[in-house]
Amino acid sequence: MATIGAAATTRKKPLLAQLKLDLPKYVILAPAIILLFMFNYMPIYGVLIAFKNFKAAKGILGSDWAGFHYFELFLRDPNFWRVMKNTLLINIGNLLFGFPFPIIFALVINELRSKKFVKFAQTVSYLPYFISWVVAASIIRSILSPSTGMVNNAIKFFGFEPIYFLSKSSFFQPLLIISGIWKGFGMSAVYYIAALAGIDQELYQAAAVDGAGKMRQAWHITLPGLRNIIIVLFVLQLGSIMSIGFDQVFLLYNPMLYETGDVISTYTYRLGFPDSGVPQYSLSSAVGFTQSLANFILVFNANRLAKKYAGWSLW
Amino acid sequence: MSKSEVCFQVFGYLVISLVLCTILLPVLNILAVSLSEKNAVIQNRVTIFPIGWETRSYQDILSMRNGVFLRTLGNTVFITVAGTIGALAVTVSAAYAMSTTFVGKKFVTFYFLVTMYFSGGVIPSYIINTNYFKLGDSYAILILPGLLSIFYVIVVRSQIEAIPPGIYEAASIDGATEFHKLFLITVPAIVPTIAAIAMFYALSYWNSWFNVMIYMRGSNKWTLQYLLRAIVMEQTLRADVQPLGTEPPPPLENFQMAAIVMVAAPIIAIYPFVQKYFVKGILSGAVKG
Repeated sequence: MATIGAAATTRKKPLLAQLKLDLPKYVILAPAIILLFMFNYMPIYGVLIAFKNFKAAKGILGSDWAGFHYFELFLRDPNFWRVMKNTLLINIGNLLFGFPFPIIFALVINELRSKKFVKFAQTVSYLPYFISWVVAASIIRSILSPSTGMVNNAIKFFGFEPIYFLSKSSFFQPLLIISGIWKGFGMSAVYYIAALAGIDQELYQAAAVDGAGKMRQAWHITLPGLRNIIIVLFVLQLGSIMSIGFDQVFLLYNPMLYETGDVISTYTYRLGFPDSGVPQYSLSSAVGFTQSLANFILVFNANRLAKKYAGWSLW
Repeated sequence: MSKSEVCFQVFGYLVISLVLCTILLPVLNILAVSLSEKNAVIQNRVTIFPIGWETRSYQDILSMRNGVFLRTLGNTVFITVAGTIGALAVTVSAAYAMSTTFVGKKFVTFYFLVTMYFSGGVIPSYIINTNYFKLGDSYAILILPGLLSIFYVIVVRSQIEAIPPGIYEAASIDGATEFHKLFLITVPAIVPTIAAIAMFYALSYWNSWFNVMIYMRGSNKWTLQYLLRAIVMEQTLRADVQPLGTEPPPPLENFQMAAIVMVAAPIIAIYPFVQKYFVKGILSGAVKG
């Protein structure tokens, strides 16, 4: 790493003199440090709520200790195990179907001859990435509507009964996986398209001269060229196997779909902000803290693996 | 081209076109419904071309009670502009400082990295922000928490480190302060990166709605996304978002589709021109290391 300002700091100065010299840097860093303190570290301190019988009037420190009471409470709650199961199942579906999709999209696009069409296809494929989940979910709800949605119109056109996609719990996990692919594949494919563009074209020519067919070229040149980025993205996605974006599920589900659609983030939210009844702040915090902890362990190790096997590191 | 090559090309265009249809058809359908006349919508005859031509739903949205739409649009623009400018200032400053050496840098690095891996969660954040910082129902809560993403600090820092250190050394010898080096050397040298992360911040502010849902009490500080949620996803239209003045009321479908179009239109109109910044931003996060 290049050390900027090396000229000024090569000679070792007494700490106080050095601190004085560094003062402007602390000033420049101050806004970031304060923001993180307010919106990241204070909430981490707020996790104490999970270990207390939190009463707003008494504050966090003033509330009585509850020990691991709320952790025991959610571990005995069948709903908790249901959301764990759903979270894992949906993520496994995402790994199986959502992960390969952008790779295939990139591979096919890479072979197409018309550069104009490819550019158009990529631009269109980015569209769902730019719209919010609110817009995406509005579109999805509207096209799946049993009475007026275009999907059901097509189903009715072919003489079948309309399907109530958003009230049948058996459809919901596939719907989440498919809509997740729909929203993200264009931008995810960017990584692979860039990696494909980075492969030396002479390798293909040399292979062709040696008599290697398209399939063998793909196996021996294309796949090794994508290997690193595939490993990195796969491992990172594996690291987030305990979390599912709140927006997507929250904006598409309804109480009829909790059986298959409720996930940890929506469950945590509803405990804290119930439609009716008393907010269970401590219980919600306990679930949230457990998820944060699991995520931390998973993501941390995922990053280590990515570094070990593909030489990728974040910092 | 060999025969199998031709087959592959045809197949490829077909498959990709099919995939693109899953994006284009719904968008066109919603646009068509929003512009079609009432009867065609009720009879469910609209596909991807409007039947008739009816823009009343759009007028209805513009004239919602108390001008909620225009007010919400104003809020969203304000939050996006203020948030993005603030985020750039904080992010680039932090990235610059982290590219230099100073006493305690190891600690600050750790302090930054922890926040990428661990978060307190929704409820602790909510309690702290409302009970301790008293930020409930304020613009500040819609802007401040999004000002800093450590991931972008890392991206920007790696760009700053690519600037030849000789420039900084020469500037130091000429008596440049850290602020000179930040604003006069660093910022001009990384304009494309700044533009790219500006887009990411702007998009995330423009698309934000969750904090509106949990922190706002009235409709006066809503964002567009939250307004759309209120129009499209709640069982009954709240008093806040009902169309006013037109009798008889338009079919809900028209109104809702017009709302989707109006909220999505600015992004869909702009993104083809800025997509390259996003691609660049995404790749600079991936190739680091």
